[in-house]
Amino acid sequence: MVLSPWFNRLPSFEAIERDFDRMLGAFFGELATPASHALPPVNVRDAGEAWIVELPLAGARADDFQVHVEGEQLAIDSVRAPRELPEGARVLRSERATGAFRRRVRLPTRVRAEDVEARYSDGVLHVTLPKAKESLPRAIKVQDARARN
Amino acid sequence: MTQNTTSPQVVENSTQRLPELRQVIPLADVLEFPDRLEILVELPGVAPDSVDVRHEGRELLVLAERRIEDARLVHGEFGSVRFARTFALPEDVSGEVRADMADGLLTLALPKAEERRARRIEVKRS
Repeated sequence: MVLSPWFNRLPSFEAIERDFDRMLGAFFGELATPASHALPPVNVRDAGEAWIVELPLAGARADDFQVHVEGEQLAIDSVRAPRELPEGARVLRSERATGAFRRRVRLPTRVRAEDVEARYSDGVLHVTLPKAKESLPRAIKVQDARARN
Repeated sequence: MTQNTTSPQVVENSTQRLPELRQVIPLADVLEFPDRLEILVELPGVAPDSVDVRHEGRELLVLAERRIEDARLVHGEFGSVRFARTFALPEDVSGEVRADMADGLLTLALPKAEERRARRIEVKRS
């Protein structure tokens, strides 16, 4: 096998990625701050009779999350433990965040805590929070004043 | 005409929306085992059949799209993105790359060439 000249100066893993970063002008990771100091992002949707809160956390399990609801406040706690490696294995590069996170969301209305549901799918936690009855939009029937005469 | 506008508690949010298909480099960990390398790539919100992994020469390319609907969003911190990352394969990796995906985490297993695998040498009594 003939080694071409550039092969001898083969850039390291990191150097190649830096080149691609510059070329693509892309963001490294989604969040503006380094993963180790950042909180997972959340989206909140108004699904009419319920709020839906979504929180992405890749490679977790359902029981890595604790969801607490009180009044209008939602708190999502999650823990990501660093992977335990068997003997003979080592970490070459570590970018993924580890540690405990808590995201708090203040919802626009109170919710029925006893009916809150959460499921974890494709790396995203989806929490459905049914709105408290008194907070549901109500149609007001318009009475015809003339009919009352 | 007299007008009165009451701001509802919930308004279409003024949070910065992510532009359509922002390009993002997914975070990855690289682990070394005696017989293989593993690259763990975070692709939260991506279904397994939306990931494209290509092994081209000494490079591994990972491409994926995540679509987040704008529908009824009142607060949006993450949106639709295109994940893209190229990994340069070190010399000692050879053979079929295996890709497994679950819960938004893509695990790439890169076997090491036979002669590069760390192995215990049995110390024989002479």
